[in-house]
Amino acid sequence: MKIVADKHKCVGAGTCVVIAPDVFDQDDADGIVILLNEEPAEDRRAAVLEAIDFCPAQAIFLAKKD
Amino acid sequence: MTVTDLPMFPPPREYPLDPPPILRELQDAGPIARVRTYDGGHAWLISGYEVSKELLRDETFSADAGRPGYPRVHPTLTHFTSGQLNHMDSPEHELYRKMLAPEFIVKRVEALRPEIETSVNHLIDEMLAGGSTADLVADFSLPVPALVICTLVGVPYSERDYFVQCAETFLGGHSTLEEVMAARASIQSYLADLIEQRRTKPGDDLLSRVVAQHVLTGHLTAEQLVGFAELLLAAGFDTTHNTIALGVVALLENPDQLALLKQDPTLVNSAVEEMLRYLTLPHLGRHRVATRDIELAGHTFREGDGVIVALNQANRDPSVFPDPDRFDINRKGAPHLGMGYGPHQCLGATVARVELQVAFSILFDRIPSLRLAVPLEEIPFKHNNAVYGAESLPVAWDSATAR
Repeated sequence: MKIVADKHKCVGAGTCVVIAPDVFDQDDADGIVILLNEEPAEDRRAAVLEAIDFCPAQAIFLAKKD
Repeated sequence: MTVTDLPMFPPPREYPLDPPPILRELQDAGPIARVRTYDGGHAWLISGYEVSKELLRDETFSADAGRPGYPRVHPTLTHFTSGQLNHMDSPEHELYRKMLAPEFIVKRVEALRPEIETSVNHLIDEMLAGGSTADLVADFSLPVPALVICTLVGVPYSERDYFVQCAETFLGGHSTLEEVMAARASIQSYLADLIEQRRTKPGDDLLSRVVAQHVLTGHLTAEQLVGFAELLLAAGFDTTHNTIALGVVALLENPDQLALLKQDPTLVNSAVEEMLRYLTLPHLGRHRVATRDIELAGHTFREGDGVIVALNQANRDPSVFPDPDRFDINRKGAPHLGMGYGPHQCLGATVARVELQVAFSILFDRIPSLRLAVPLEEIPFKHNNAVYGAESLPVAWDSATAR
């Protein structure tokens, strides 16, 4: 899976960081999402989907495959 | 069915740690029900987990309390001023939330952990020095978030007692509306003065940084910042201290769970999440009003329809949480909605979690024999407050095993 994070929509809640700290981080200055790993292994799918679901800004999604 | 057959919201509880039984009945009948409110109005009550999420993520349902049809469920929740983040909609809401968000990022909040540990240990030192009984609310659960909020906001140590007193009146269920408004005015004036000082004498705290980055630059007025600070107080104080107190009660009521936590302290984070699910103390739910006619979850909402999302009952949805009324600190599976969901989900969730994790990793470790000093029925639960909890929690312990 490939993750896309929209930094403009992000409000810096950090919900994704709490759920999957190996995949997501936050910028110290403004709290905006930093993608640590754009293509994590399949065993992280459940955590990534939870982070997507619980993002208050709906700023994270999976890239569609062609 | 006549109008008076509709259940009144909020309804009464039976077992003090469970939501009111009628919410279980309504949930069993379907995710959406109709209720009456004290002002003679009506609202839709959402108690299903999935429908709650659908509704809270859909901004067709506005959080603006000034809109006609917004449900009124409590007499003290009727006065609003500008700067109330929880009553803003997009795009304003995101704009202002982003100004505060950096103060609550995981890294920044984790840096508070050692200070919170020191406070918690100090409070326990004082409790133990006082003998073998205490009021866990006054002596422990209330001071923890009070000190943290004062640190975050930058209230000088000498003024903490005054600030906490005002906060207690402002948020207390026994205060008259006049007393609430007076305490609120006091806090607003105090915060306004503090903000004024921070223009020229910044400290290392949230108010100072927001003043420097957003007030001095003209993005935010001082009045709006007072509103935000007041919200931090209203949202971050009651919720946390009552969760500490009732979390203790939940563990004592479920000794098998307490035993698990004592045996394996690494369960503390999971135990805290289960407390948030099981207790869901903002028991008046989340409130919204439909901004146009909309179909959602097979139901038609009309423009101006008020909605109450009963998160406490959604967190007991059996289709999502097996054996939902069981307090199970090892529970896995679906995330709870105790911190809300969607754009308005709790801004201070990271702070609340650290406070709760620290409190519960230390309390029973240092006072393993901690127990209630009165029967459960004698605990004064805050049935009439906007945030549920306990006025006091008489506890006792064996000094011989306390450390």
